[in-house]
Amino acid sequence: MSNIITLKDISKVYRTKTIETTALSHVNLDVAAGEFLSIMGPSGCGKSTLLNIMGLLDTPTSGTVEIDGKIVTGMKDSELSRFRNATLGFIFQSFHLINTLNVIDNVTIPLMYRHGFKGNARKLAMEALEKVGLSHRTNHMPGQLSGGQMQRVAIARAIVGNPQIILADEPCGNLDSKMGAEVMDILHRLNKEDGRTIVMVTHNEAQAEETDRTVHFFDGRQVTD
Amino acid sequence: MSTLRHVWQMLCQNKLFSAIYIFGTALALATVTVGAVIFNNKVAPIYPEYQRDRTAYISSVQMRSGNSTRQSQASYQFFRDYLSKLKNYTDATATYNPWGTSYAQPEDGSLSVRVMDKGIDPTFFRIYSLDFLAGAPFTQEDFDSGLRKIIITDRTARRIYGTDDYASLIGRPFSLQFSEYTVCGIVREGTPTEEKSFANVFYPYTTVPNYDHEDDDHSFNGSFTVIFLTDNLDALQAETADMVARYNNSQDEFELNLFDQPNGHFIVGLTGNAYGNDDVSEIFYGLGFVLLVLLLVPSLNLSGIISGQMEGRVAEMGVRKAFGAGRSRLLGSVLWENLVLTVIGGIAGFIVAYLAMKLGITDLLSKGDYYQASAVTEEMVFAPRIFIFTFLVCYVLNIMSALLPAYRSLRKPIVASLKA
Amino acid sequence: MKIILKNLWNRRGRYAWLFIELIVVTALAWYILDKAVVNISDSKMPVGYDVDRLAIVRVNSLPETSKKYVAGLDSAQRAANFETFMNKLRHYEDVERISPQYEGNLLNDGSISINKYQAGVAGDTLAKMQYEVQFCGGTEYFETYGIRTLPGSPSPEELSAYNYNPGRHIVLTEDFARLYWPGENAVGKSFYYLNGEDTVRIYVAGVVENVRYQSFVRTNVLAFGTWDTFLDKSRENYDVLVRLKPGIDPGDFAPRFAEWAAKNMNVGNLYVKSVTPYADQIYEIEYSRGIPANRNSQLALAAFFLINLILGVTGSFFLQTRRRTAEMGVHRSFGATRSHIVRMLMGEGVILATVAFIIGDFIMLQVLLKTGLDNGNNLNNMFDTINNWVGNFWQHFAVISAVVYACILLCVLIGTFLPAWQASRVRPVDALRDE
Repeated sequence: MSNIITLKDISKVYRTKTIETTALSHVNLDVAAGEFLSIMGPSGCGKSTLLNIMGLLDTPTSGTVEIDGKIVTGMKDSELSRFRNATLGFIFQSFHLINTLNVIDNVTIPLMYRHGFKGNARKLAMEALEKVGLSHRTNHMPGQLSGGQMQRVAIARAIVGNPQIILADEPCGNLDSKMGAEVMDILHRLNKEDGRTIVMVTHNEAQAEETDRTVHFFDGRQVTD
Repeated sequence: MSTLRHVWQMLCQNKLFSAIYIFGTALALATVTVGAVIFNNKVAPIYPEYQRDRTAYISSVQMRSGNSTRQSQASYQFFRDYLSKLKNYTDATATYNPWGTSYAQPEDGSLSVRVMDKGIDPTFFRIYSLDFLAGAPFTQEDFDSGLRKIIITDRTARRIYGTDDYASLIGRPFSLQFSEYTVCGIVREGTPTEEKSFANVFYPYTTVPNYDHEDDDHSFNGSFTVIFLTDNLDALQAETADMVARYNNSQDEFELNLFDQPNGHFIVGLTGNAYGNDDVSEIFYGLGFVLLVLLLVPSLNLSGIISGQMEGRVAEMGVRKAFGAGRSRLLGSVLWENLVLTVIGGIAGFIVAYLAMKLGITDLLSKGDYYQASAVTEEMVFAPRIFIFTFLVCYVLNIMSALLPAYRSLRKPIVASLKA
Repeated sequence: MKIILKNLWNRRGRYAWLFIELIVVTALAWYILDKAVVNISDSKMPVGYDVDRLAIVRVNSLPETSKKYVAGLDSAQRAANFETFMNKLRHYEDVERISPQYEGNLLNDGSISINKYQAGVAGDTLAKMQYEVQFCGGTEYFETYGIRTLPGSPSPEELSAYNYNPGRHIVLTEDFARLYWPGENAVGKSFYYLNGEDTVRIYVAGVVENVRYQSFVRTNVLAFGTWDTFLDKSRENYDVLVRLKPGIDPGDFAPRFAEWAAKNMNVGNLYVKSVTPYADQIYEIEYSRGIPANRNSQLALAAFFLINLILGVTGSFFLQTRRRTAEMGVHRSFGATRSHIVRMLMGEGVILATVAFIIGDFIMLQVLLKTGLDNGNNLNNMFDTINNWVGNFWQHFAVISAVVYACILLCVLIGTFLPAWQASRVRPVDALRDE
């Protein structure tokens, strides 16, 4: 299988006037297309930083990021935005739903920014919500949903634009075990049935074992594969 | 002092909001201050019109005869034979204000200089306190004998003679419209917005040919404004109305109308109308409304900003309440903090207003003579009543903008505040 | 757009202060800008004559008390002095032509009559007051002013040379002629001037393009009557209208000529009292009537409210964007560019402003239907104005509404730009960290 994500010699250093903090140090990582990869490590080891760089939300201090055959480091902000919209979907630990929009409006957000999109956004959003089992709650506001339901809406939002890659930052971190299991179940279906590449940051060993491969990080460096 | 330190810390932490708050307050205060100074100049005693509260005017006389109507200032005959014979005044003067512009000819033969001229009599000096920098006013004897003496202002002296050694100008010839006068006094110039007393040169109107019979057909019409000093304006107005009625009843040829003049300085100075039935209370309501509106809009702004700031301080308020602070105490401290900010803005606004007035903003906002710039003096701007007024405005602005948002935010229960 | 509307609706509590302020400022700005716009519009209306190369030379006679006074001149000698004086002026190098008139009778200056006129048959009760300016025949009045005549009317030169019977012949402006004879050539027609109990029949000698007597009064309904068929040359004072040659600036001409005249133009008792560019004369009158002062005060007040609006909008939007940083991060993470963020936030401002404007405008409409719109200087209420937007309620309302909306919108765009720009600059990773 070809690699859909290639990170070459990625470093991320935060500098202030007096202190220099190395979040990532010379990381090399490939992710194959259709793979379900989990990244584990203690707090502060750089795993979320790595995910942000993969997701083009942050830029490395050095090194290159290649996604789907394109080198994205050095792209202009507007090009990155467009690329992100077309290729990536995000699921956050804190869900990050917009509280003033209802469920279906939250899900359509990626389609608002899809360049040249002329389709029926609402129809696609409904399809995404059906996949996560929430098509009966389209007009609810986030404040009216449980944690698990909110995360399922976030997943629907992440897939509505049909991205090849989904990046999930501790998607079950704020959920109890039952809801967490439901979310993991959805992610596995997305990976196996739709063939989407999923990169997930997690603290949970059991969840990590269910994935295709686990990468361990410690102090900004990859320790095992 | 701890409040000031706390306020300073707040200012530094929220630079943008502080800047908007202070700028908004300064703008409101600057506008109100300029308005207050313009209003004050129109109605309050300023040089040389220190007796404005006792001054009243007749400057428009209408005489109708058949289908012919003539309206103008008063004639000297009317002043001499009727108006000066009224009883309810302490002093009465007539000033000669001819139509058209006058020019003075400099000694060196250079281009004529445009001047505002006024013919006066010695009573003028009792009503208006002109400050003589050199020389003295002309006397009653000078006036009666039509001696060609002239009093010029300091600014005119500099323009015509090119010197500020005023004492040396006494006795020098002065050419006005190619008529020669002799300088007998130099006075400090007033401001052109004081229409009744302002001129660049003053001379006895007895030097004007035919001053006492300008127009024989309508002998009450002419070029004179009559100014009274009175302690009982109502009585003077009633007496004048009575005189007009008696005149109209005594003959059929002419109908005299004085439009309820004399009017006191407050109405005339404020409205700029020579006559009219303007109700003083209506004018005050109008001004009050303008002031309210000038404060309402900035207070809406500031209220919004304070609301936002209070949201950010909910946890702080919760902690203070948890340690025993009562609601009224917290409210008082919030109002006090905002008052400090408002005063900073107020001081900034006052300075901006002063600079703007020095740069001539009052000329842009006041009617007057195109060729005469107003001198805004420190006396006008730093009048105590202006200070007190602007401070009061500051305080009211503070209450209007801070009270409601502060009160609303302090109503939250302690636990809810601490969770925020 | 839908997202913007939903954002606004769901945040209506937080935007309440700003919304109220927008409505209040709309109403206040309407009231103030109405006066200011009408004031400016009236001033910008063409006066109908060519001010650019025009100056006024005021001629006086020395008083008897002057040392240089020449006593004992009879009317013939004074007339001869007048001719010499005017020839000197006429032949001055910068001068193209002159038109001497009696003192205080030029347009936008001095005295003017307000006479009662009546169309049609004597005894017809429909009579109106209109302005009438006086001039003297044989003085090149119309061509010096640059007043043009309508087709079907004698030319300006012919009108100036016309053998007027004062009080019987009159020249009208286009709008005056239109009042009584719409669509017809008024030359040769007659109407009536009411003088007390008498009605005097007067005849139209010519019709000129619209002229306004005063720069701040809107009416173009003006009559030109004659004092005298020919100018009396033995008087003491005159105002001479001077048309300068092309390329000569009246501002340069005035001091130069005044200096030359002081030495070279003292003929008999006549001397040049002042030389004023015509534009300065117009402005001087406006200034003494408080026209610019009123306009400046109105514009200053409007600027005050609009600056406050900008401050209010900026403050509110900074507050909003600070609270919505994470939301902005979400949008960015799903592909929104910086300009999407800026447009979204500014779009919220535009919609807020538009809705508030509609409400404020509606409120003002109810008020104005009762009180009426501003009509500029009080004199406008006395005289007819034809085909002017100010006098038409709905046109006037539409114009001022458009001006107010443009101002409000501009303020809101200015006020929202900086917060929106700042919000768009926050990196997605930093924004999402901001929970």
